[in-house]
Amino acid sequence: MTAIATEPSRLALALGSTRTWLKRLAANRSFLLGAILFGSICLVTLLAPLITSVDPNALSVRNRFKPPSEIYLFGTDNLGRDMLSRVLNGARLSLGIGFAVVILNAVFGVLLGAIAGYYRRLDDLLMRIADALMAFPAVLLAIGIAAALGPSAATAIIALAVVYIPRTARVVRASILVARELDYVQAARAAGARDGRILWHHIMPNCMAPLIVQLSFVFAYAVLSEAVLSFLGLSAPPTVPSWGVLIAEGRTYLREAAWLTVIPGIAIATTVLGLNLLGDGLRDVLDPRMKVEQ
Amino acid sequence: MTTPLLSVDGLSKEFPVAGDNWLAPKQTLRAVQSVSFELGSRQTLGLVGESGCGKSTTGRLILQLIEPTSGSVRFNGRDLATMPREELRQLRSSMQIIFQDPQASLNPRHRVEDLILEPLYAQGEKPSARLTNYAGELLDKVGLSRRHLSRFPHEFSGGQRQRIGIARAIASKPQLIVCDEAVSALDVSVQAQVINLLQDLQDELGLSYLFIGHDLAVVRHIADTMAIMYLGRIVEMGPKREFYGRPLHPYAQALLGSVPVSHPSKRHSRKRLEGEIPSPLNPPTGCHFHPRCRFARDICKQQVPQLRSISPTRQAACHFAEEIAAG
Amino acid sequence: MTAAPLLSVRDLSVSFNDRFTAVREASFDIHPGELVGVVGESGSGKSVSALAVMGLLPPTAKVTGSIHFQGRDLLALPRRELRKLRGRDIGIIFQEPMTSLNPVFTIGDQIAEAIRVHSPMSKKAAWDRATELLEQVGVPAPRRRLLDYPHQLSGGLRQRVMIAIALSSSPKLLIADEPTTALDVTIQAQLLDLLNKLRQDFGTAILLITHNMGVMAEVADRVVVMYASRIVEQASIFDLFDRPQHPYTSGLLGSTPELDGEAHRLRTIAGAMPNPAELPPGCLFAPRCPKAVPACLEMQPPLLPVTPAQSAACIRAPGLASEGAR
Ligand SMILES: Nc1ncnc2c1ncn2[C@@H]1O[C@H](COP(=O)(O)OP(=O)(O)OP(=O)(O)O)[C@@H](O)[C@H]1O
Ligand SMILES: Nc1ncnc2c1ncn2[C@@H]1O[C@H](COP(=O)(O)OP(=O)(O)O)[C@@H](O)[C@H]1O
Ligand code: SF4
Ligand code: SF4
Ligand SMILES: [Mg+2]
Ligand SMILES: [Mg+2]
Repeated sequence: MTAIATEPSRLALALGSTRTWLKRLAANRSFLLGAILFGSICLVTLLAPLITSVDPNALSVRNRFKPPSEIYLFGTDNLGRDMLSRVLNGARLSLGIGFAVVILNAVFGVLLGAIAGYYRRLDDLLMRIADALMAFPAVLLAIGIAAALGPSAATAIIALAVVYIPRTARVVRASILVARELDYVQAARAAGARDGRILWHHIMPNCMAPLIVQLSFVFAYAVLSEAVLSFLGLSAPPTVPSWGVLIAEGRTYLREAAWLTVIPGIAIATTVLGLNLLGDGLRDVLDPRMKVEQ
Repeated sequence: MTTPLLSVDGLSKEFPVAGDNWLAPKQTLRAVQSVSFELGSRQTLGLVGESGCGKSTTGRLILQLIEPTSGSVRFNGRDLATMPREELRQLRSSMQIIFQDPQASLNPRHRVEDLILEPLYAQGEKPSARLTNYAGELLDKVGLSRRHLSRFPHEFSGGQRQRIGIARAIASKPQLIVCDEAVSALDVSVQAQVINLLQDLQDELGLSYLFIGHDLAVVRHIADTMAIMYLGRIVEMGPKREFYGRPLHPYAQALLGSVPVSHPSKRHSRKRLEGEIPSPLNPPTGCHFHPRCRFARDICKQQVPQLRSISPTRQAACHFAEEIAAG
Repeated sequence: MTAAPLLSVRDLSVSFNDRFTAVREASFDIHPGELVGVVGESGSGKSVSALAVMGLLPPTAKVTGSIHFQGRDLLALPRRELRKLRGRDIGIIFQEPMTSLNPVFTIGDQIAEAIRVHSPMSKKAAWDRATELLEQVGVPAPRRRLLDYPHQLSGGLRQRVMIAIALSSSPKLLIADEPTTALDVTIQAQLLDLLNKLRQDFGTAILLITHNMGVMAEVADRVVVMYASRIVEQASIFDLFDRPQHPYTSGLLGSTPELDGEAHRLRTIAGAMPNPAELPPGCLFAPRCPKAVPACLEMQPPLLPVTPAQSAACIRAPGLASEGAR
């Protein structure tokens, strides 16, 4: 009915001013819950040195397999190492790798998406490569790349970046393809604006919402996949244990000392859940179209 | 003879389109086929036809927003296609465009001031108090006010947004503006205001318009010369007065006959056009119009009628234009 | 027209969320076989009035007044009864024919379904009837078309299918909300002819909403002019064009581009329609009215008869002055 069509679209309003965004975000339960979960994980990780000063690798043969208690909040492992300290330090690595993957995704996703979507150069080639990469299950591909490069944190970052960049680039390309045909973008072109200006001023703002949403999901998957990689010994060496390494080490003692796997497991689950809720909320508010399509 | 401001010669555009399924071969959609016309300074050419006949594509070809398959566009005698990139970019400030949808043609994130100064920023000017002042003058000119400079587009009505679009189009002091259905989405009372505004600006600033529309009654009020398009081709062209007095081409006649009457006493005073516009992917042979034409004969199915002069001022693309003109 | 009206709307007001009134005190009648046009600018309340008659407004809408159809008050009718009535005795067609058709079913399925809802019959019989209906609304090769999906049809054909669906139950009243606005003029002309034919052949009364005065001139018997939520004038089509009583009607007529006569400069109505949420005091049209006098700001003039067949909501309507009333 026409009344609905003549009303300014929700999207236009949502993009109208930052204040309305913030208001909508503040009213979105999914976003709030996600932000609280993920925010507290980040906060605890950043404040780790204040929470515990115990060396995560300090052995204590007398204190092996201590279940969680007042002294050892998260218990100790088979070598008597303090799990609280290990989980908090592991968070740095897990989140750090996730963050690095997100940054690489943002940079290369936008770059490749723009080359393919705006300049339409290499569009076919880039998208074929992306399709080929996306045809493999993400985790398997990451395992393959990491195995080929040899275990290290950098390996994990590169492997995960290679896996997720095509997905991000596709999202960026798709929104650029829509945005470049918008009347006001055409008007800017007709007025003689340079490509850089058109991309930066008119097109990229239209891609920000889907990009932010995509990156929040990439973050979640990266944390999850990094756990798998380190579980398989394909990420950082065990001296700086990431969450995946902790689970791998604890797995042997699953019956006797379940906390060794359960606690890092909860950490991973909370992070991933938090990021997914955050992403869902962002998508609802920033990009209602995506919700309809899916 | 002086060189016309705009001269379009044999302009054609083909779009490749995917087949019905991915096995089917790619097809070619001939959106615009050998369109030629000239537009003088301070003149308005009305380009009219049904949706999908290639009007917008023609407009975008002229502004070099898309690349023609063949043909040339000359602006002040200079071929735009062969012009160095940087020179074309600078020349763009002399040619602007106004769109149909006043909502879609304004970036919702920008304030009115930045919106209307965009063509100047595009040419490298930097924001300044002088430009802000100029933006205020532009708003005054289009019937808005300085107070609106810092507002966002969603705070305006459709008619006001279209005025902002017009302010943006005249900001860089262009010579040519392509108005692509610029008043089609507006309510009548607002439409009349915008048409009058466009006319006033033409007188004041010496503008030329390529006025694209689908409503012959609207275009009559602003055009000097008319061009009627059907399935990618211009089928009739001539001065407004003569055209509206008696169109030559059967399609133009039918189009004119479809415009709602201006008074109830004139009901049932015209002939209806039967059928629908065929798919441009698979247009009829010969004269594209023959399946719907009352005058069609065998030759119309085989031979494409060329756009040719019927009188010193008028052209039509119909094998029997003289006969039809004679009545 | 002395017979009882088919539809009689009295003092219809519609507001949303208690804040915003989209229609105020609208009263009008439609007689059997009559084509009544509702004309007005975007947002003036045309569609909301039509939806109110159909009982299709969202639950947030508060509707007051009365809507009598064949003597029964639709506003007092239970939902089920209303639903039965709608589609059987009242049909509706919308501006955007694409969104009103289900993309995953064929045209034939959808028309046959509509037929069977109101008169149970075999599938085969329903398809035969569907073919007939498509033929009536001027769709060429109707049998073959029945197998098509909506996206395979042009806008004009889709609108014909919508009309066929609306006609499937032989309604007494057809409400058409801007059925031709999205279409080309040549197709619009064909559809207007079709509406005229329906009226002649079946005696269907039609409420036609449009913002185009030309469309009114083409088909309407009587016209209701709406402005910013109110009916400002009602008249037979000839009275309206020859003797408009409300300055807004004159303004609309003056700003409508015409094909004949000199291509004069268009007359305009200054300003724009006020936002229905923040209406001016007194006559709603006063801020734009060339004839406004201080008295206009005192109160909203009611819709008063100027002649038995024409009424206007203006204290300076020429008809009123000549009578020396007021
Ligand atoms: N469900 C709704 N909730 C709130 N406001 C509504 C709703 N539906 C319509 N309105 C408002 O009611 C007013 C009248 O709307 P309506 O759709 O009747 O206008 P119209 O005359 O049909 O306009 P158009 O020519 O654009 O179709 C508008 O301001 C519209 O925004
Ligand atoms: N980018 C494109 N790709 C494929 N077909 C197109 C493209 N742009 C326009 N067309 C087709 O070209 C024809 C003319 O389009 P257009 O110029 O927009 O028509 P008008 O403005 O007269 O309504 C239409 O059939 C349209 O579908
Ligand atoms: S060429 Fe033939 S078919 Fe075409 S318009 Fe003329 S008479 Fe009609
Ligand atoms: S009442 Fe006054 S303001 Fe309203 S329409 Fe009549 S003259 Fe104009
Ligand atoms: Mg167009
Ligand atoms: Mg409406």
